[in-house]
Amino acid sequence: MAPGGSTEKRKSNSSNANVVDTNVDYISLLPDALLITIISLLPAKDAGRTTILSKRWRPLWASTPLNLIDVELCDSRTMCRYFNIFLCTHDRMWGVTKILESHPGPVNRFCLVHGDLNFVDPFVDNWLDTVTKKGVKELELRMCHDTHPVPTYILQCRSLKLLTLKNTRFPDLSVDSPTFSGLLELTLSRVIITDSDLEKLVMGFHALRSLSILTALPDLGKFGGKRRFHLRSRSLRSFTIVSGTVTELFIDAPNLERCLIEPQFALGMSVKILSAPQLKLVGYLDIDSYLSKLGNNLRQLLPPKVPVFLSFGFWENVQCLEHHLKRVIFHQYKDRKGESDFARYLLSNGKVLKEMKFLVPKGSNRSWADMENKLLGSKMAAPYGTRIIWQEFEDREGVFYFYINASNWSRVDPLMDMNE
Amino acid sequence: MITLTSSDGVQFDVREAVAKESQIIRDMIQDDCVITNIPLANVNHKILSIVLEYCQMHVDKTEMEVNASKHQTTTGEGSSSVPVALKVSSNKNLNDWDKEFINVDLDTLYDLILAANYLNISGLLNLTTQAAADIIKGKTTEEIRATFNIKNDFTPEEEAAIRKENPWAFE
Repeated sequence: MAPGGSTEKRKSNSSNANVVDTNVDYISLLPDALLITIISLLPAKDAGRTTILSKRWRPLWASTPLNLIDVELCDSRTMCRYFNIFLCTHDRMWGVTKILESHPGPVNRFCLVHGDLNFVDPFVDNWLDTVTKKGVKELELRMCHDTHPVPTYILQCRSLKLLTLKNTRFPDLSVDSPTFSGLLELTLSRVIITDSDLEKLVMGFHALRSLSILTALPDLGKFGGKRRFHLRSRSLRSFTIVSGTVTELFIDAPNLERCLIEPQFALGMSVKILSAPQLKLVGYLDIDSYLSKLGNNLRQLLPPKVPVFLSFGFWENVQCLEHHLKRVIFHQYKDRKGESDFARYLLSNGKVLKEMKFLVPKGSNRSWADMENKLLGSKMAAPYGTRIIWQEFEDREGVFYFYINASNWSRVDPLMDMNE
Repeated sequence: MITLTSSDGVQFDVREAVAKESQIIRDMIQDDCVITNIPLANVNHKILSIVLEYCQMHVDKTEMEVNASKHQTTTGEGSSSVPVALKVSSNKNLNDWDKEFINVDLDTLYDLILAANYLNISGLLNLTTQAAADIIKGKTTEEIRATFNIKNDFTPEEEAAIRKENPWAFE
């Protein structure tokens, strides 16, 4: 230790002498389990530094299930603002290796989110081998190139509950049909997988409760071919997909409660709900592309007493409007003709519609009073007493929260926090 | 109503729903449904009153939401008497309220962590341990010791050895 450091320490000890005597070190009196909880909430470096506080703290870090996110090992001074990445490859690699060497496990969460690594890199394979042996529960792996497949042992890791994959491909599942783990949540982003393998993957995870497919699969539509995904799962409760990811989507999921479709691209997608009797919330229905094909099914599928959320769309000949539909949110309302017509249609036919909310893009030059006048006309009130709410909306954040909340089961209503 | 008695003998009459925010009280009520007075040997009246303030607020907010959705589903035509705006913004308000609530001195925070743990109130335990972690986050070793009055009982040699063991944490 540098002489300067120890002088400083002595100085601070002596100047704090009275303080130490009169003020009790309460936090160190907490039982181990609670200190371990506190350490588990710290970023990697802060957590590691608690080993040097005092003898009381010394052994706790090694007893705390490890949460390790690669970018937490980057010095904030190496942040390249232009590309929004850290330029700290060596520190990060070295740090991850060292931590995995010195921490006895178990590993709770392991995330490689910097995005400059690949499964084929030998040290990545070593890390993943280590964390899967040390009982990892949550894995988030954002890779650099989609040319390298995800190792099969990850799909079979028994301890794994949450898996997020970006920029990778799947090993051919038609040859070998492995029994997968009891994974609960799967998030795929820019992942190459065939239609039939995607179906096998979902069925292979027998306990899966949340599936999110967040960015269009990269080889989709490249050759103008149709992609078809038949979602079959007995366990699934939440499904999120970006519109255009597949051409045709069939849903057959007895326990599905949320089906959220993000209209990120103006690509058409036909959605057919064959069976989803528990469906409570279906969202971002787009008027032009696929809605008309959903109608006849939805009538039977929407159980009473549930909020329904949609952007703009069809809804003719659907009984849920008269009896069940409680809540409608217009996302990015711009008062275009299709939108205002549809809103008016819902207001005049939604007998049990309690709330209609308009999220107007920030900077819109239309006044809310004007738009409301136009909607309600001379009657000045919705015929069934629907409450109309206007709210300014910043789009980027909204989409982000939508993603976060869609698969988050701690949210009773994933739309509650949107834009608030 | 349930009477909770603090370790220093102060009695608090609270609604059953409020008391049941605590898992151990919930279990006690389930085991013995006629129980009306529960002594809490490990929580003094000052801390218990703060804990109950937290429970009260969280129960009120949840009930408000449930009522709002009940009204939406059971009332026929006409406007609901429950202000929908309250329901829509309640999550945000509750988070803000939590943030304000947990802004306490370190001694109180320590007592709250212990009380939340003893009474098994998961929301309060998450809130208090996160608050403690937030205080530690980003501070140097010396700053953390000074903040919590943690006495450094290592010799300089021992300290140097620990630094050498986990160098990634100290660079």
